[in-house]
Amino acid sequence: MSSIKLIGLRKDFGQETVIPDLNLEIHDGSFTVLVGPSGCGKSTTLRIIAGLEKPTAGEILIDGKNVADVPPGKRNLAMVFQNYALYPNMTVRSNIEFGLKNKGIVKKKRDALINEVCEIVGLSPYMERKPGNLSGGQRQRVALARAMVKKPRVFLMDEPLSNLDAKLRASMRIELIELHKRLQTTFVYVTHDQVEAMSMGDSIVLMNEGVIMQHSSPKAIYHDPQNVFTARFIGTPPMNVFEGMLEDFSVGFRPEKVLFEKPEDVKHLVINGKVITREQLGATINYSVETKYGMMMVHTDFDTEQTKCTFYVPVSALFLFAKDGTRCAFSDTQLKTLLKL
Amino acid sequence: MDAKASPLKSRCWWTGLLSHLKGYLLISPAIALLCIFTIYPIFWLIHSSLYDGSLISKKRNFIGLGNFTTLWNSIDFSQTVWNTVIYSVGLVIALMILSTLVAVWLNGKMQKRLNSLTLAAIFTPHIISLVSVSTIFLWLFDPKIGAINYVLTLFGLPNCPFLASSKTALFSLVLMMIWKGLGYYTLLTMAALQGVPKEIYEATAIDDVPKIRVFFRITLPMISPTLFFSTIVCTINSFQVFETVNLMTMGGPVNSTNTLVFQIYSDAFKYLRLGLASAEGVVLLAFVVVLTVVYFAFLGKRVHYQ
Repeated sequence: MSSIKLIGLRKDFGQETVIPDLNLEIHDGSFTVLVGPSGCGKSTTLRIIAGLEKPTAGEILIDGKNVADVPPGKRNLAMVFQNYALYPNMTVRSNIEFGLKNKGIVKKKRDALINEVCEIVGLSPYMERKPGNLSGGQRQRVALARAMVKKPRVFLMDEPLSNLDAKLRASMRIELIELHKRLQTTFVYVTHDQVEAMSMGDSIVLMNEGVIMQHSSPKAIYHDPQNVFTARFIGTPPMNVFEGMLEDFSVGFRPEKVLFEKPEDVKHLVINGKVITREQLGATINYSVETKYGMMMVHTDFDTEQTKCTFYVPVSALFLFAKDGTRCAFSDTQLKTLLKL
Repeated sequence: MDAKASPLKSRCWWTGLLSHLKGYLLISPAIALLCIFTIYPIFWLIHSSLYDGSLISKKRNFIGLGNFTTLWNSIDFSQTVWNTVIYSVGLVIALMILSTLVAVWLNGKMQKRLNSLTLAAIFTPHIISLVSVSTIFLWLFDPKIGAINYVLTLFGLPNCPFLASSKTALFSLVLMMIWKGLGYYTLLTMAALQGVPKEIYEATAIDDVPKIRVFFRITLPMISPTLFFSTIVCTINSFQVFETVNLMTMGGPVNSTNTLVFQIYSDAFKYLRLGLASAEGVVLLAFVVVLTVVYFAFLGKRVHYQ
């Protein structure tokens, strides 16, 4: 159990600055997810916490102690890699045991620890196999077990589910959430998948080009995005953000907040358009609609084959953003006057 | 076999051959060359090892295993075999250890430019002709005017007779071949090292595994298929050492650098004892066959990639 604090972190790769100036506080026992598009510096941040990458400048505090010069092995943390990084020439047991042996733990205690974690992740029948003879999901479990057995202060995970198929990924997601509940340890999890981030994290750090765009709970990041980037990154399809309706602001609304029946009691926008494409997802449908403000996405269970359509957006579902992309908070009454409704 | 396939198969055995005729035609030149220049000579070698006879006379008598008995009882020949084995084992062990160490060193976080410079420097001897190398080393090794002894003298060290003494001649040849072969085997090992995923080393860093343990438990097993390949190739090559012996020592002094292939050459073309030379050839063949079999037997077990 540990808190992590990054202060004034900077990382250059040669001439290129990947992270200009990062300040981040990860609370003890939290499940923090670093999410963002590829190349946003999330993995680099994780690797700096792990000690695999040296920061160009800045401090890394774990439990208040600067660990910038402490080698990775002495930081008392564990890491799960994207491609698992298992030792291919060792059995499952040896893979898990390898880190313990170096800590000088006696054989009897090692066996007890290994059996305990293998019970949890369900590896017991495969102990004498080599990684080459395991499926992707099983390898993932070995990587998890190897991390767990060390009882680290912090778990670092670098896109651990991205090599699994969709079904397995969904079930592993739930298992990881359960694991976090059981262990109560700090988890730092890197992913580019917003669904993973939203469903697993209790604290989400959204990054872009080495800068934190927003750090908040999944609920807040969805309902209260602080900038256009956050608003458009979280949510599928992304939020519609368009200009031309107001002079100084761009207006946004989420595709799933659209109504096809005219609401009687609430103020709303009315938008006319032409349906260009239609994706039947099952219960719901995605339409892309051409309007006078540009292309818009609509996500609804309203089923129509017509090309011409009119939809309504309640004022409470609208977001306003300034020209520089930052969110401008307005009350519904202010919005009504602005939009002259 | 399903019912449809069996009448086709039973129609005639040569329909299969006929339908693949084009393929067989295309490989026939290669097969013919292989038969003429490799397969046939092997049988001819075994055949003539059972006769006495010489290169200049057509008359020869069947003597069964007589040539082999002669070899078995010859102290000189056992010395030759022994020399070859010592030379090969010494060279292989030295080359494998040194090339692995150099490869690991060059693969580390050093100056990139310095690394490629070093690699180029140690690889260059590999592309120099063995004849030139031998000539150069004849001079370098010279006990009186040689450069190596000159350097030794500068540091106040005793001079070494190198090729002039039966005690150091074989060792000198090994030394020269290490110089020549190091770059090649280092390059092979480096390629293997670069095939080890970086994340595995990162995992060991997080597991706090000491460097020396990482080398023996991770690196070495991961590159073992390449090391094994190098070992076998190097052994087979060293068993057939000839040029250096012929150019530098002629098997001397006092038979101390006489090796199998040089012995075969001497017996066949100097003493014209073709039968005996063939028998020696069979002995060499046996050594190489055993090594190759060992290589293929172990190769399958040594691979543990995913």
